[in-house]
Amino acid sequence: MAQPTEQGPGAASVLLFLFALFLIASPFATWWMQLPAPWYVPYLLWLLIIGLSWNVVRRTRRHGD
Amino acid sequence: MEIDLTTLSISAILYLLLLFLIAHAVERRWLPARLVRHPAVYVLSLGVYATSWSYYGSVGFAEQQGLLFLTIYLGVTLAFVLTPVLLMPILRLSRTYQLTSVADLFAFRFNSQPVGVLVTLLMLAGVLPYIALQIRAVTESTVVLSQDSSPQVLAFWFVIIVSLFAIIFGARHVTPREKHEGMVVAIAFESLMKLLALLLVTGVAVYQAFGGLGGMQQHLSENPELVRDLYKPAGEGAWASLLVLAFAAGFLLPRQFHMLFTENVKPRHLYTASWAFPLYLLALTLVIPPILWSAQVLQADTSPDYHVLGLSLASGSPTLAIIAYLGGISAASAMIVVSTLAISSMALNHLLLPMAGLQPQHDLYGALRWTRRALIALVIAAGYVFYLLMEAGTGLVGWGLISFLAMAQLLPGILGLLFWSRATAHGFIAGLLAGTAVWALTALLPPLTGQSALTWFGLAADGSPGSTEMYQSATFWSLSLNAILFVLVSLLSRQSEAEREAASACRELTPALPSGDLRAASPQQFIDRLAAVMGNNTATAEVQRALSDLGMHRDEDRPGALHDLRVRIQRNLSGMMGPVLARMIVDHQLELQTVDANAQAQNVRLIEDRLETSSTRLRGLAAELDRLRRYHRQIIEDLPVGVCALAHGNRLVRWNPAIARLTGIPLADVIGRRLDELPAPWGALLNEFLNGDEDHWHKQQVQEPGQTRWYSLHKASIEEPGRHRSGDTVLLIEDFTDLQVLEKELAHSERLASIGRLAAGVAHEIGNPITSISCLAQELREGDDPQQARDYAEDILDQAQRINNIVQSLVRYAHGGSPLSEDPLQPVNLHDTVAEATRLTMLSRRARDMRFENRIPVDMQVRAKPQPLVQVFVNLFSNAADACRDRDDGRVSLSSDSQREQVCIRVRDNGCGIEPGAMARVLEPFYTTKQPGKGTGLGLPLVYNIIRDCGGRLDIDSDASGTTVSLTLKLASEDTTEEA
Repeated sequence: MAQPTEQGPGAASVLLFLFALFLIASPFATWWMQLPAPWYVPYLLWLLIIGLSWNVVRRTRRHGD
Repeated sequence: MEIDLTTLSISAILYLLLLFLIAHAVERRWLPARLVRHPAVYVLSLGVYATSWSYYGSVGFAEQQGLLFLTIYLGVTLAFVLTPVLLMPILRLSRTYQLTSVADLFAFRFNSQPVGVLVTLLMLAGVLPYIALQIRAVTESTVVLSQDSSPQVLAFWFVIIVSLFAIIFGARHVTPREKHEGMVVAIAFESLMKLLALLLVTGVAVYQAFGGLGGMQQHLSENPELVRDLYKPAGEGAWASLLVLAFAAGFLLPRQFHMLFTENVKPRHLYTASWAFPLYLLALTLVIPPILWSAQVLQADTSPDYHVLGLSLASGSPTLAIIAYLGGISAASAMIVVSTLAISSMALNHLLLPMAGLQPQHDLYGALRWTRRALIALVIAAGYVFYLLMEAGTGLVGWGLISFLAMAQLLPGILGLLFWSRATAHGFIAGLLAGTAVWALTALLPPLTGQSALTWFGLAADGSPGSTEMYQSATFWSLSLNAILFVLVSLLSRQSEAEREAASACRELTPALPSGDLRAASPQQFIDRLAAVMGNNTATAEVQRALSDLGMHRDEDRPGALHDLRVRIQRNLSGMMGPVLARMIVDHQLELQTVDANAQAQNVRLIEDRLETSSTRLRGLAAELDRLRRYHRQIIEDLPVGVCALAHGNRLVRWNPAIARLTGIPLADVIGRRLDELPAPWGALLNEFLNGDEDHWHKQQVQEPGQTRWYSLHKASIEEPGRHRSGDTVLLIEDFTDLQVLEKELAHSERLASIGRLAAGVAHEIGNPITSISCLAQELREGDDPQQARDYAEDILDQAQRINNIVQSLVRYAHGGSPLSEDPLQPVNLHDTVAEATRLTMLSRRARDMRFENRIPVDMQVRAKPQPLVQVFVNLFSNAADACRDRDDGRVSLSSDSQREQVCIRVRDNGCGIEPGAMARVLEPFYTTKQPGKGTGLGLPLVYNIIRDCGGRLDIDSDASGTTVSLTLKLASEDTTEEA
């Protein structure tokens, strides 16, 4: 009998959402904006979020949800 | 360099005509379906989010507010990260209940027309300035390129062409089931155009300004203040507030909702979009800082909002300038088309239809389609009027953010819709009114009055009207007040039953089960009832469509199926005219009968369907219970015995595979039907059994086409735990055909065996009279006395008669038919039967010395089958003879004891008896206590089967003094005796 997963894709996406908030809307974000960072840093962080989001979707599809 | 207005106008018009061509090619299926329905098309179509505000205004926004411009896209990314818990549930809801707009969604959840009206008005208020903004962007971009101060004609024709496009390709269908693929592909093409134009302009500008990316990087190193200026406003400004606004706008803007949910072809495309759409936005915005810096270096002679055009002009290439211009046309036209479609749908469902009411129409579809087209024209015209009245000085970003803040007022509501079942319509309306009031006072009016209302309360004094600081305050106060009132008023108000049901549906909880049957008892009656409000043609088409969706026949009449049909019709109508009106029509025209307390069991199938569809979402104890349910159901499914369960009204709710095999009637044809509606012979048979007094029928003969089969039937009441009996019944059906055939074959074998045993005795019995006849014949040949000759002849005749009697007995025995034949029972003289059996048994050598005492009254008649009954006694006597083989005084005595309608015949011998260990097995076929080769082990089982066939009973009692076999049979009444 197939075991339904207790942690669905929802949990992963909420975790990723919180992580994204940490990256772009937190004192951490304020900190990296004050650094003399290259102009493309926000885009790299954005790309990281997109990559993780792709990973969540890939795992969701693999589980056939 | 400048480009003349005519060239720009022709380019714009040709480009818009190209969109017509693309949409037309898709609608005519000239493009392959794989391309049209590719996820990339869906993702690109979501690019409608990027309007002229993004295309042109982002550079200006970046110039003034640095990285703050990114929040407009990062907020959307945050919303898309939450696809599984935020967007996917909305998509499921909108697909399942055919909700075509955000107003439909809220009106459905709160089951309230005022909610739909309010959301529609808010959307209209937010979108009309936005549409005006797009028209302005087109005219201003034309002015930038042509330096012509009066491009109003172009603006007018732009509006006309865009309106025509929306009317032709956006309102072809009245239901969301049929997608506007042509329009979607055209919008996707526009998104691609925007991206390519921006990339091209950026590439050329960076090359011109810096000689390449390396040069740009060196320039930034030499001028670190450029990057510092980019970051600085982000750390100080309304970063978080703008993220919230963009988060809401990402899926609540009418155009976003329309493309995301209404035009979605496959739900899994949304998962693709969850990462691919942010990637598109990233690519679109990655070019903004380079464009800004290039424009600064090249000193583009344009306002920052139009640096994209300024750079293309600076390149000296008219082609590049036109491409950049067409990118802007793409952004503006896509926004206007999709927003207008969404707004017109809301206005139709929540403003026009509720006010005008639904009238029976010959062609309701046509009327709805043309009304919607008129609304599209009206909305665009209103946007154009707003454009004419709009103050020219307001930046592109300003009106965009005003619109975003309006959409954000739906954020508390959408969270309540998805995650809080207790939310009420009153709470939503109170919150929305308060939030909208704050929005109007702080965002909508200040650009007109020049003063923010917040300053009246001493709040946000640092935010000038239209500034990002002002949006920070406006977002906070409007959403806070909205959310607080939403929660408080929801807690203080009560939900209606319908609202509670809709709340459950939105939270994917189990909505209430339908109670009571429908008054309309057939699809035709559905049509008749619906025709009263929507006309016969539309009613027929809608019922036919719902039947087709569900794979039902026009003559369907099962209550469960009709409930499904009702729900499907309601959903289809919801897609056409909104959820509130659809529910009203269905509730009034297809009403339910009064509630029946026992009707719950009818919903067994519905409950199972819901569990099946929601099983993957069950968690914890619910998941364990579901596994247990599946296990128990599987037991019933795998039983080799046919099982069917009947609910109230004798409707079938369970039909396991075994019974489907036995009866040849598949599950799908049975569930929900009444028992007597089953095809022959099952309907009549099962109904008779159900209504009869007996709980068991053994070996019931059923005549099926081309064959006869035997079944045993059992029934039992199903009792609800802790309650009185529910009136439901379970029936079990066992197929005994194979066993019956085997028993017949065994009985035949046993008869042949007993004939074989008798054959030796027959030879011996016949031998004596033949010897006598032979002697008498010799005497007759030699004698000459006529008198003596006659005496001899008489003796010979006697002996011949004796032989004849023996042969006749054997022939009757052999030709008596199958012992387990289907011959009817008839009156049989018991005394004569015993005498016949005695004669036959005496033929065998082993019984020859036995003494038989027949004490049965000569006139006693029982109901039995004559020849099988002879066999019963032959078998019993043979066994008795075997048991007495060691005795010289072997004796079998037969007595009878009649009581009321039955007689008990006792066959007692004085043999060795049956050992206690063998008693339990003597009725098993092939079990014998005799020597190998002496017995078949079929004698007593056959006796048992014959007596059971005659409706009697067999008991065996044995000890060392002998064995008594008691046969209980029904006495033949005088009436039946006379009939016989």
